[in-house]
Amino acid sequence: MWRALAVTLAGLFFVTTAAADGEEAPPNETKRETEPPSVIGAAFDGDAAMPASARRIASYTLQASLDEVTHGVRGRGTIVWTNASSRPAPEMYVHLYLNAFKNERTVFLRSPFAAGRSGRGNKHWGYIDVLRFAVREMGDTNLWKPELARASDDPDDETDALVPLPRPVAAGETITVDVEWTSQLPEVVERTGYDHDFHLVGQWFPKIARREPDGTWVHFHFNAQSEFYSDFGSYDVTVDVPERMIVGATGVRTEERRSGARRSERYKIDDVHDFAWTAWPLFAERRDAVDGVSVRILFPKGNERNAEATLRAVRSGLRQYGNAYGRYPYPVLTVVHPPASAPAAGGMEYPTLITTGAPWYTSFATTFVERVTLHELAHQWFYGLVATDEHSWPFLDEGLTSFAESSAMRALCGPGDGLSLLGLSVDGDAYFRSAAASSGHHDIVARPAADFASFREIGALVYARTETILETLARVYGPEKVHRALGRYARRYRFEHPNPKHFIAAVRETMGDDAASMLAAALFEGGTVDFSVRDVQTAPALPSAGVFDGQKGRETVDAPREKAKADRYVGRALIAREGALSFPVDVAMTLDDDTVVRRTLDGRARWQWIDVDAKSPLRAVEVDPERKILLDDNLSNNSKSKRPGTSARIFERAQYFAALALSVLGP
Amino acid sequence: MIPLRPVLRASLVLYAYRVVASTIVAYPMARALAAFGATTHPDGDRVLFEPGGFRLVEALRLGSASLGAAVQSGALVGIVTTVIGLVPLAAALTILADPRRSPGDVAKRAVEVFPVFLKLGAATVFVQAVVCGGAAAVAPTLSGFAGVMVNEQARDIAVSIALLPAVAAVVGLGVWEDLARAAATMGEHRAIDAARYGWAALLRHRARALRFCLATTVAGCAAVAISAAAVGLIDVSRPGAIRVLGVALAHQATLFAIAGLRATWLGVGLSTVATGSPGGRGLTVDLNVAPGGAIPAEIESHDPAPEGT
Repeated sequence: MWRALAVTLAGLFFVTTAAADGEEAPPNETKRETEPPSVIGAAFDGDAAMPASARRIASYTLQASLDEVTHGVRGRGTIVWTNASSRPAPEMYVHLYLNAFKNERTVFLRSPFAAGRSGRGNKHWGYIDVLRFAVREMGDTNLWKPELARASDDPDDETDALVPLPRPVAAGETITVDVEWTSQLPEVVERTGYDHDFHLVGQWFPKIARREPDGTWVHFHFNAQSEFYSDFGSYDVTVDVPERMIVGATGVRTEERRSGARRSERYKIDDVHDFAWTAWPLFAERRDAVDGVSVRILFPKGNERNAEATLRAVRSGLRQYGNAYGRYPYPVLTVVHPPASAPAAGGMEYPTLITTGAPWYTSFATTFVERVTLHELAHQWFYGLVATDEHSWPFLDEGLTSFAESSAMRALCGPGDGLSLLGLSVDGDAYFRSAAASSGHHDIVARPAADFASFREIGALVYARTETILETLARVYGPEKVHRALGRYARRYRFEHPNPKHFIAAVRETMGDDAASMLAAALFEGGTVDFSVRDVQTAPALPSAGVFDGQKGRETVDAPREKAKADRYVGRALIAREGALSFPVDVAMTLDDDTVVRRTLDGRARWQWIDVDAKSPLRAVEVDPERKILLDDNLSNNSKSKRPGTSARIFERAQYFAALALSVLGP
Repeated sequence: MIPLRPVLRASLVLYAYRVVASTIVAYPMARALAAFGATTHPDGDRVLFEPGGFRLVEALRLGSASLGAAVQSGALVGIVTTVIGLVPLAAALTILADPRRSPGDVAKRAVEVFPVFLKLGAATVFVQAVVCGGAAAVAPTLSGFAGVMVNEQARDIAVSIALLPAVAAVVGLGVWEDLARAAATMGEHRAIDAARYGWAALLRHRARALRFCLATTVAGCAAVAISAAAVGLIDVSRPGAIRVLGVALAHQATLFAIAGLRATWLGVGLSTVATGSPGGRGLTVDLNVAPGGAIPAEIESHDPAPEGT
């Protein structure tokens, strides 16, 4: 069904569809497309025009109590939900994500080959049992039955519950739902769970699915390759924990109470769409204020250097992202560095709370901690503020975040942000490009997360290839244009739920039709490009020989002797392009006297001879010498030389390191 | 005091062997990498060192299968050359033990002691592997015990310290092997006897032996570090054959220095064995005799009779 959705949306990409007002849509019908505005406008190049807050659709007031022995959470509270669609809602869909870890028949754990980002199954099961789901405006009776969690199309999976209502919720009506539940955390897997007395509590409460303006519920089984999608609202959550626990959570801590051996902390935050928290007695803490944002870093003792690296990245990232995509609107940011025994809890984003993680020695030699921090921080914009459907369009958050991360790393660390060692300087973009090139022909980028062959493909396509596509656009058309496009997109759709059309339209508005067309082809059609130099030829520029009839009569010009010395040479190179994408491209033609003649092609032709006439023979040709077109499938065919290039450096280095190895390991 | 000339000669032997062996090992790997990045570019392999690393990463991606195969074959060749390398090692020790010997005699002696060196080497590698395996087996348990430590850095350091005896054992076995090789060079025909002499020498002069071993190791690491810094400054991503030459010279100087430190340590090993043999018998070669000079009457050099005769 989701594959059909992706194909349908791709096909409808350039077709204007009118919203169908007033019609009753069957549930799950794929009609949730909304059209982007024709123009976003330059007003969104700055923060002034940004929306100040979100429309609160689903607001949660919850009380949760952690049992550190059983690693369970008992919760209760209220959900205030507004039917913001244009159609009455006769039922509600509720996400019960924790049930993904209930047994090995769930969609998440069904495969024997393990799954998800953590790449492994969990040892101790996790689940959520809803005890009460009562709508005050509908008689306040408990509507919940356990079988509601077992969806009709897949009864083995209990992550997607359908709750029929006594009566439809009218369009625009607001209801209050009383909920009670118990959550059993799994051993930490996929960024939620426990490890000894460390707890990362994510996706832990019954969550109302998002209802699109046309009445479509976006509900889905929790797939190992997928993430989340939900409405904005306010969260007021009180967590009750053993006294010794140190808590970090989404939002601002507004109250703290102690009662015997327990302590409760209340957190409140507006304009978010999720709430996560962590509790562990062994956190060390570091606090700072960055441009009015209270930053709190929780980390295991011994990771002080990692904490410093994290703070350095946060300081840089908040400013960079704020300038590029709109000011960070929340007063707090919590960064959680899980203990080394719980690596599956690292590398995740929740509103105002992110998790990083790396061994304590990482920051001594690498910038990995900075990179992870900047990536998860960028998610505050692409996922947090621009709340796209991560299940249907993972590239809209992970891909854009990866591009933001790459830009931020370059600004923070300079050239060689990927590796700078022993005279080698490798940019992070080189790694993204490599992964993108390896996967470019495997699949298209813009498809639902569950439809990819594996998480490895998601990494290569959604993360790396999207980043490489955007970086190519930046290098070809200008980085300021791409950043302006992203900035307008992020500001205009802050606190909203755009889809790929909105993103493409923003690019079209700031960068033009060509760039937008290439972007769409690269994302939706699996477009690729491979420029190559197929042939290089050079010859002396000699007068033409033969029999000529001119005004003075017939004249015979002999062919020049082979060894005649020419004072000019002609050269030509055959530049070819494969793949559906095309970009303007530079060509550098190197002559024997080391002169370099440059040409710029529009890159549209499948093949093109380019000529040069100079005093020296043509020796070598290189297409895209500045590496602008990172999407190029194969860089090794980008050049051709009439004389093989020297490999002295490689041989010398290889011999040296082999000799060092023999010195250590040999006699 | 170890005379310079024998040390230089021994260094040359070791250096020459390592250059040849490493060239054989490295050539397939370098060829595999060059094929995907260097040969078609007008700048040759300089492009692989350009800032950004795009062509390098691309060459590694495209050539990964070939490179992997080349690395595997290189490892196998490396093992073979390591075994064969016992001959130049024996030659170096022979030069240090008796600088008067002619090159032909040195080669003949080196071949004679090769079987003993082979047995010593095999035994040492086996025991080192057992020690490493034991340490690897124990490490998780140690990590479990250290889990009570709250500080992750301190925890890992504690585990590392707990594993230091294994590291010391591996290093000590290497030192012992070198001393046993020295004993074999000086006349012990059987590996077991050579090992016994080496052990006795190590026990008697352990502080001296370990001091020199550590000093030469630290000096070797320093040479590598200095070379790395120099190479970084030279920056072969910029054009100019002089840069390539400069890096090559820096690297070869480092390799020669390491060979020289090895030869120095071997000389120390010889003198340690010479003065540390059990019962004080045999193996007394005065390394201060100049090449071609007369042997003082009070200096004896003899091979003890094999046991049982």
